[in-house]
Formats: sequence, structure tokens, C-alpha cells
Amino acid sequence: MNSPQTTLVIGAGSDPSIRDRVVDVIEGSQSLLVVGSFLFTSEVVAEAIVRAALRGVRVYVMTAADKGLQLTKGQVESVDAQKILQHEQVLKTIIGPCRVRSSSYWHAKFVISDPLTNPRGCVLSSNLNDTAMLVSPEALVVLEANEVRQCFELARVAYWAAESEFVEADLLSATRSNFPLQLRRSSGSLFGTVEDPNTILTSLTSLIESSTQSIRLSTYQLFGDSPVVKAVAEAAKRGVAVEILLHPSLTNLQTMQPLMRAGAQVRTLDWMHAKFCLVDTSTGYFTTQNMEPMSTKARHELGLELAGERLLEAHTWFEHWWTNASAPK
Amino acid sequence: MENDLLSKTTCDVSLPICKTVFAGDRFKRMDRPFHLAFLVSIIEFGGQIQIDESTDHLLPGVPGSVMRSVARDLESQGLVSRSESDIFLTPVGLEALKDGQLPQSQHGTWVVQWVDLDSGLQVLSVDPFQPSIYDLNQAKKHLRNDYEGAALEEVDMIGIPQELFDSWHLALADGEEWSLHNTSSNAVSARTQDVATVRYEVLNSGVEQLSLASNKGFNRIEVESPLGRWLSDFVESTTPTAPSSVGVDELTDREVSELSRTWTRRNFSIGKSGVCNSFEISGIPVEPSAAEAEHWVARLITLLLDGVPIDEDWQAATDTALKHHPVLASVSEPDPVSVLGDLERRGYQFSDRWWSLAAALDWEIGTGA
Repeated sequence: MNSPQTTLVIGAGSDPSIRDRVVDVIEGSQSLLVVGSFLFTSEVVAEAIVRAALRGVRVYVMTAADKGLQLTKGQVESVDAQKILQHEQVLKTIIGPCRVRSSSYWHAKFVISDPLTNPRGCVLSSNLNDTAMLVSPEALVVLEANEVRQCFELARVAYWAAESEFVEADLLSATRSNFPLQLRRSSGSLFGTVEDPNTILTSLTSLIESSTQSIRLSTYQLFGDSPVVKAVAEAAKRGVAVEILLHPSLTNLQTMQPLMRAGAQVRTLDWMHAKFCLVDTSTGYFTTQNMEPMSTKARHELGLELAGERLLEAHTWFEHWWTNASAPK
Repeated sequence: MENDLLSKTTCDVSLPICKTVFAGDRFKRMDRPFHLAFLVSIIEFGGQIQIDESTDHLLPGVPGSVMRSVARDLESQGLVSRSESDIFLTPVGLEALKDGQLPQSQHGTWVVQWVDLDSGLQVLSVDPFQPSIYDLNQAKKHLRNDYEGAALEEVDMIGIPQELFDSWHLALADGEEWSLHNTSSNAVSARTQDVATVRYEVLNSGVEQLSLASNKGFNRIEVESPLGRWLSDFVESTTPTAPSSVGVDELTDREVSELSRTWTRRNFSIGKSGVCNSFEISGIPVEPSAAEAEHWVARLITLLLDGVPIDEDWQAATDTALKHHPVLASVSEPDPVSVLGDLERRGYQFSDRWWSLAAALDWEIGTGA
């Protein structure tokens, strides 16, 4: 089946691709570029970033620490040793021309340029990894100008609170002291977990609890003790039509059983990684965060309220993936 | 550095802590580089490694049987020992590395601290010999100017050249026993494995001094030795002309920067407080009012303000000079935007100073970033 051709919510298989859109933001940057990604292995994106730096754009990159990746090695299925090596190699190519800071609690993915002068940008479910951006069930959402500015403010706080900074290609573990900045609040549709690690989970739970007709939920990891799972199960029991799309991991297969018993329809799609929660056709949410338990640990994720055209396009992609997904085995 | 080493020697380890320096790029020329890479990987993993770890580290995707074969081969040569799934580097294995088989040259010089246990060798730390900030910035410039082709290992790692470390390393590896005497006439015998770190200096008075920090303590020693003479010759041949005779106005910024850096490394001394209350050029005390010195310092201050890295010694010296010269201090707060542009025009984009100013402007965080 052909991939949907959309403009504001882009899935893998689109033309232009997720990667094309990322590179487009980078190449359109004029003076300032900020990039965040848990994992960064795309040489194409790295080369675009370095080109931007060499033509005078100041580039700041936020990524997960090599130490943090090592900790998750073996625990996160999509992060294997080879990817970690690629991650380190790609970082080496951008350190110097770009200022790179890292933190083990960084998970958000975004690319924004010129937030104060000519704001453009996007938030992604996918890491800056070629396979993820070109093939896997991932999504990119184009940000509006005020959302780019919000993203920049959230990044500002997180970036300078990072644990370490890569000061040279051969000094990956080099650190500089961090310093805290206060978040300057503004209203808008973009949310972060800079101040409260449960901001997004709380919003999602409230959204689900408000549902009366339908819930469409897609994610990579769905943990049984997440408040989202409990809210979805309650909604299914009260008659809300629930469709859930998941990557067929062992954890997910265990979590989906009680949900199916509650009446939810569940399908699996390999490497399903786009995280949407679409409620009653009128509201929706896109996030970089998996459906995890409540946490007291600091972490950095992004969540975006969807409405209008972006919500319609999100439904289009959900339907596309749903059609290609299969019943759990 | 000395303090770190001394504190390590007082930790609860009854065995002598040995320190070995690996340097150079002979690794590439060895007949069996992979075997040596395997040995190096054991060091990187702290003196012992498992087959799976070494495979992941050196040959991802290759069957573990290949690595087991290599391990057996090394074991038959006495270079490693095995206990269940763990493979240990033996002192003989370390010696093999010390004889000139080295880690990848891109890592430059490594300093390995280790203790010799009955079961094998336990590595306490592996630290790269850190290049100076100046060299890092030079590397950045190479990266910027020739991004496709440049590689960091092409840049000199530090002002002290590779040959010096090779020479030092070989002298120690030959088992040469040093009989050295400190200034209070207490004899100190520093055998090879006792030597933790050595610093060679030529003082302003002309006295050659070797500083030794080892598990026996820390000593400063006047030295007369083949290595000392070699070093002395080296220093003599590379010491630049004193600034007062150079004609500072005729030099480019880069020449001023590089010449000052080398010059201060050899001739500058700093008090224990870390603040330089007076300074000398080639052994001659400099009066703050001396025109030549003032002129020279003024050029350096300009470079410092522009983000050109200068030795910390020079930073202290110019701080002192600024204190004595309010007129010079008045130029220390230029407009960050104009400084940023000026740095870019002069080829110092991506320097620490450039990033500091850029970050302050971009993120509104002050110049401390």
C-alpha cells in the first residue's frame, strides 16, 4: 500500500522523507540550529549539520551520553552495540564545528532553526537514524512558529543542565560543569518534562479519561504499570472504542492481554515507534515518550497537542499503519 | 597531577603501583597488529576481558571462536592467562606492549597505572596523555579548514614531541637504574617501576631539575643524566629567541601566540598560590613599566581577549599585568557581537572564546558558558 502523502505529519515512506524534512530544516537555518536526539547515527544528517556550521550557523546538539547508552545496552531492543558505535562515530564528525552536550536522561528528538528570527522546526518520534527515518513506522510533526520558540526554551533549560559536554572528538567523556536555568513559561501546545517528569503522562491520562467515543494509541513501549494503561482499560470497559498499535515486544505482549480482555483492539507492527494518542476525533497528542510508569527521575521528553490539519493527518497515518498491522500472536 | 598520583600511592594497595607510558605509532608496523590490539583491549577493559567483550570491542559480528583462537595463541606465548571465561593480561603481556607495540596512534600517548598481582596484572587507570587546549584548538582549525581530509592524529599532541616520550619510554624499558640525588643530598634510587611520573625542567637559574612522583613519595631532584642532557639539548634547540629581541611589532598574531607559549613553558615560573606576582623573560626580571615587556603583554592581552589560547602561566601573568595597567584593562570588555565577528574573520571560529560568546548570545546565559 502506498504511504499517505501528507504535509504536516510525516511518516516513513513519505516523499519527501522524514530525513529529507530534517535536512531541509538544517539547510534552511540561517544563524542558529538546535538538534536533539537520543541516538544520532545518520551520516547524511551529520554532514548537513556540519555544512550548516561551516557556513556560519551556530549549531548546538543535545544527545544521550555514551554512558547512558551503555546503561541501556541490552535493555532497549533498538539500541545495539553497533548503533552505539555508529552514534559515537557520527558525534566525532560534528564535535568542533558544533557544540555537543549530552545527558543520560535525554530522549526527546527535534530539529529547530532560528527560533527567534525565522522559526522552523519539527519534533520526531524517531532518532536521527537512517533506517528509522526512512523505513520504520515513525513520525515527524512540523512545528508552528510559537512551538519552535517553546521548544527552544525547553531545550535551553535542558541543554545547560546536561551532565557533560564533548569538547573534542577524542574526548568523548570530557565534562564541564552544568548550571541550572529557570524555565520562562509561555502558553502553547508544546510540553516538556523539564520541570516535572510526569507532565506528558499526566496529560495523556487526562486526555484518555475524557474520551467518550474512541481512542487510538500507538507507541513503542507500553508498560503495565503506566497510568496510561489503566486509563485506557477503564475507557474500554465503559464502551469507548480503543485501537492500540504496538511493537511486538515481550513487554508489550504482556501488557496488551488485560487491555484486550477489557475490550481494546490491539494490533502489532514491527518497530512501531511513533507515539500518538488520538481521542474522539477532536483531540490528539504526539509525544517522544513511551507509555511508562510515573517517575521521579529527571528526563527530557516532548509532547505536542494536535488539532486541525495535523490531527487529521495523524489519523491518516494511524489508519495506514493499522491496515498494515497484524493481530498479536 | 602529582597530587593525584600521591593520593593513589597512599591508597590501600600494598603492591607497588607501576606506571607505563605507551607512545608513538609503531603499532601500525607490527607483524601481528591484531594480537596486539587484543592485548591493548585487555588494558582498556581494566586488565581482564571476556571473549564476548573483546569480540564486541574489536570484531563485532565475528564468531567468538576466532577470538578464542587468538586468546589461545597469546596464552601459549605467556602473554595472557585464562581463568574460566576471563582473560588476564600478564606482566609479560604488558612488557610486550611496552616494547613498542602500542595502542592506536590516534589516541596519542597513554599512561597506564597498574599493579602486579599473582593472578596477572590489574590496570588501575588508563589515561590519555592530554593535549593542551592550544593543540585542541589547532585540531579544530584543521577540522574546519580541511574537514574532509583532516584527522586529529595529524596534529602534534603537545609541545613536547613524540620523540621525547619515545626516548623516555625506551630508557625506562631498557631497565636502566637511575641514581639520582635530590637537593638535600638524600640519595634516592628510583628504579624503573617505581617511577610514576617525571617532569623535567630547566630553571631560570640554569639548574636542570627532574621532579619524580612515585609510590615512594615526591622529590625534586637536580639531575645530570643522559636523558637530562638529551632533554637539555632539545630544550636548547627549541627555546625561542627572547621576546625583547624579537621585535614584537614585526610578528603576526599567530607567531606571538606560539612564541609566547613556548617561551613561557620554558622560562616562566608561578608561585605556589598560582598567582604570578612577578615574571621574567629568559631569566631577566621584567619591570611592568618596561616598554618592550608592556608592548609584548599588550599583544598577548589582545590575543587572549580574542580567544587565542595561551598557557595558564601567561593568563596569570597578564592578569597581573592588567592589574598594574588600568589602561590595558579598559580594553577587556568589548562588545561580544563585534568580537565574535572579529574572531570569525581572523579564523578563530569554533575556538573556546568564540563558543563562549556565541552561547552567551544565543541562549542568554552570560559569558560563563
